[in-house]
Amino acid sequence: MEFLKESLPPLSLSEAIGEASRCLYCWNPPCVTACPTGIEIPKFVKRIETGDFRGAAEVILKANFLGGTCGRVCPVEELCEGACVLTKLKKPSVSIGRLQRFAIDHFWAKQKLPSQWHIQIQKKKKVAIVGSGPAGLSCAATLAQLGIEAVIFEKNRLPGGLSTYVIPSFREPIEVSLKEVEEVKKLGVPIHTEKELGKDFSLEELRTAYDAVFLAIGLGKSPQLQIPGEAYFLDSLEFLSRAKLEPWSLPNANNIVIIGLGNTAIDCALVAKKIAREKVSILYRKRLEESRAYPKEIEKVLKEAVPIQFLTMVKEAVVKENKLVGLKCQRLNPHSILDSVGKKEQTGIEFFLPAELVIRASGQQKPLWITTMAIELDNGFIKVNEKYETSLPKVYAGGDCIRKKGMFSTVHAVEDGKKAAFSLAASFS
Amino acid sequence: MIELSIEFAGIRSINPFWLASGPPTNSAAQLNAAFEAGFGGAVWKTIGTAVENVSNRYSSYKKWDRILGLNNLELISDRPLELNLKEIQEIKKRWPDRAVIVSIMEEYDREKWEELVKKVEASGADGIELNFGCPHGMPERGTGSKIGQDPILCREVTSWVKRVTRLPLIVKLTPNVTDITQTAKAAIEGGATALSLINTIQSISGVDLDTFEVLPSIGGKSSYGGYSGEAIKPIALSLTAKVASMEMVQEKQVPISAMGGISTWRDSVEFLLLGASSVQLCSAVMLNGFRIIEDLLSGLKHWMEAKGFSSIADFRGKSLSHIVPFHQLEPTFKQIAQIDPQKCIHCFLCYIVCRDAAHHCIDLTDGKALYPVIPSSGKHEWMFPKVRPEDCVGCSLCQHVCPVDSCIEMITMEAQKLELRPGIQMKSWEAIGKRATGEVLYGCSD
Ligand SMILES: Cc1cc2nc3c(=O)[nH]c(=O)nc-3n(C[C@H](O)[C@H](O)[C@H](O)COP(=O)(O)OP(=O)(O)OC[C@H]3O[C@@H](n4cnc5c(N)ncnc54)[C@H](O)[C@@H]3O)c2cc1C
Ligand SMILES: Cc1cc2nc3c(=O)[nH]c(=O)nc-3n(C[C@H](O)[C@H](O)[C@H](O)COP(=O)(O)O)c2cc1C
Ligand code: SF4
Ligand code: SF4
Ligand code: SF4
Repeated sequence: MEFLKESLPPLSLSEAIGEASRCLYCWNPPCVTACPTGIEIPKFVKRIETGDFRGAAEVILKANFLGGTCGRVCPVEELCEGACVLTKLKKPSVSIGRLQRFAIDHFWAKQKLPSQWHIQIQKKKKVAIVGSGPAGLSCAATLAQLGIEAVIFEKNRLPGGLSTYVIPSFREPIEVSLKEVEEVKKLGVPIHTEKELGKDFSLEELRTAYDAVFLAIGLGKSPQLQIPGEAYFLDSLEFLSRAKLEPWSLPNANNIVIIGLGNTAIDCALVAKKIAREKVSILYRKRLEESRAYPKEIEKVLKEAVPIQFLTMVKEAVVKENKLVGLKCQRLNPHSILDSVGKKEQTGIEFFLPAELVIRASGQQKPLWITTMAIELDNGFIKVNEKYETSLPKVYAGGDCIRKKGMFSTVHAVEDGKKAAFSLAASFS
Repeated sequence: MIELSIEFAGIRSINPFWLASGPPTNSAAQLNAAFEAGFGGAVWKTIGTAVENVSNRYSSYKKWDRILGLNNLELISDRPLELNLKEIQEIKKRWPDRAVIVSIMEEYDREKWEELVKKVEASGADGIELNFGCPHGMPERGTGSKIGQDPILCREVTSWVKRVTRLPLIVKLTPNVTDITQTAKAAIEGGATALSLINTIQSISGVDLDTFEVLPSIGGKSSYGGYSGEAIKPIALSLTAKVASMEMVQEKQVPISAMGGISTWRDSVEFLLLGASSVQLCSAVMLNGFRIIEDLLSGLKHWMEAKGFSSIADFRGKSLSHIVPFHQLEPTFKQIAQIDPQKCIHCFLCYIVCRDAAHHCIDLTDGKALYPVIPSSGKHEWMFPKVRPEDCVGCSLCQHVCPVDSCIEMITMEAQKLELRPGIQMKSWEAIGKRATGEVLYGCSD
């Protein structure tokens, strides 16, 4: 299926070398500072230029074990590429993300991890990691390289977190995510799937059986809109996950409507655009300026000609013979005072919008179930200090589940996992 | 009015741009196209006893997609001598206002040279160029750079030719010598009316890391080649200046036709400023075609207009007076680097080169950047490089590596306040040399 393919083609050998040759080989440059995992960018880029692709991959993987994913999914305009000094000379930045992908792809195609990375695991200390998303995998890989035993528990059937289940295939095919999972396993980390914390075992049990626990459980589904007929809507994560893993199971729909205008909503729109027979449109309660999506992402939906109706609120689902046929919507008064709760004066006109598939994409919910554990939260997120320690002794956390502020992004989760592993190691020594 | 025409050792040419002897001057059809495009002259591909060329005779020295230099293993013309002579005659008849010069080479055998010269004279060519420079294939037969590297042979063979021709006689010099003025002198003594330089520089352009073969690989083997193209320009400029500055050349007003890495009008002007009367191009034409002549003419004309020159003679050799022996350089002249923080893009290349290869006198200070350095952070605070003036020796390395136009400037200091070492007031390099050892020591520059 067309939409399961990666949209950006890989760089050819000569494209990669040519692109690499544009890098100035700066010393301690802003691009490195802007990379949350601190990859030594000029170093790996120059190694590509000279044809030392294995050397390039080693530089990347040393700082970021999930370099293959990050090279594809990182919001590079906001991070390394946005900081590249060439942009200050009004030149296009070095395509760091695509070069990173080139190096890692090349490495995977040809080589195994260098032997010095396979440290003899000492059975002295054991860490239980809950969640096999980027944060969990990165923590496990780092621990393994430090010689510490790590075990991952994952509630889903497949490991990899959002990279495996949700991030659209046109950005990251599932094979990439699963390949990284394999690389982590090769370092000697067992991954037990379909094992859910809070159901199959408790935090207390983990704390007694292991020397430490790292929680990397991510976030939940999108929150309910609290409107009649909502049960007929599809959650954005479920939609994306079905589109990625079992696209045949999606209902046939002539009209797909997406509610929300964040990065997740945009992904849903882009995926929907590739499968919808007729029309995809976005309904957004607020104005364009208020969207938290990256400008580059908004550009993409505009390019795909997906209509966006601003200041539009969904009142209820219209259901006929047990089937969703559309939405009852209402325009909001543009002059009314806007607030985050959306208590706007509902003075605009009401109208009907046909829709057979409606996707609720209003962000991910905080891990509510965690409140059942005796762990301190901060605004719904797990509270940690700079060492990634939670309020419970020997329990650490990282990734989206602690991201009270900042970006929800893979690379930040990777950095959390890596840093938490170093803290854990330090606590054992 | 801008006049581009020149007279070179009695040969008239409508402009100073000639094709150098090489693949673009192999046939009448090519010269015809080149003259139609606008070239002022051409030196015919070297003729002599016909040879057999090898297949795959080029390799290049590249930086990604840009060719920096070209390495070749081509010999002299592999076409029958009579065909070459017939075409030379035709082309000269058709283009009376262009310079048609014939490059020749023979074995170290007087009779053979004399016979060849007579044939060339009969073709109606404007002049003869002696190829004493080919660095590959020919030396093994006792000719090419074998003659060009030995002043005695160079003088002798030139005089053989001189005795049997009344045509302007150009000797083409090889750069593969220790002192080019020796062979230049020998050529003039032998009777050369003009000199041309440089021929290719002996080279190996690369080695294949998978097959271990040397490039270009001709069925697994290679040989020492001749290097040409943009990369050799600095060497060619220096040798041109050296020959143009020779007393003998200046006294006898021996014209020089210069070449080596010319690809633009700017390159050409540099050679003219260093004393050349005409310039020749080979690699640039091989890599771009005859069409480049239009840009050469346009650039030269507009530059002359802007500078107020009306003929080539107005500026020929004008820069030679700016070259002096090292010991005449001004020791009290001092510059220091100054960085414009408004222009700095924070690549820190200046910092790292000054730290590791200059005088460790760039500090990293904090300051306010004009734009957020990392977009997602919106942060304006960032490090800036700043030169410690008291420690800067003004070597200018940082300025060369800075990627931003005029971000680092070299500021000239007031001379009288300067002391090289505390307590020692500098006068001249001669004085330092004398003080140290009692005799004059001029430091070597490399
Ligand atoms: C639609 C969408 C698109 C995105 N696109 C990008 C992008 O392009 N670039 C980017 O950088 N970021 C993107 N992100 C964000 C990125 O995916 C996350 O920031 C990242 O995956 C966070 O990693 P994590 O390890 O913290 O959590 P997750 O990837 O969410 O992994 C958490 C894991 O824990 C498991 N888990 C949860 N609870 C339990 C439990 N009780 N027991 C056992 N296991 C459990 C989950 O099944 C999951 O496998 C996107 C997010 C979404 C929703
Ligand atoms: C600034 C500079 C100074 C040099 N000084 C010396 C020197 O003092 N002694 C020496 O033997 N070679 C000297 N060299 C020549 C180098 O050792 C080397 O032979 C030459 O630069 C060619 O090598 P490279 O261009 O590949 O580096 C110098 C080169 C440079 C660029
Ligand atoms: S800032 Fe840009 S040019 Fe400099 S090292 Fe980074 S990628 Fe290369
Ligand atoms: S001119 Fe030389 S010594 Fe001075 S700051 Fe620049 S690199 Fe350093
Ligand atoms: S080399 Fe130029 S741009 Fe780069 S840090 Fe130095 S002054 Fe700034």
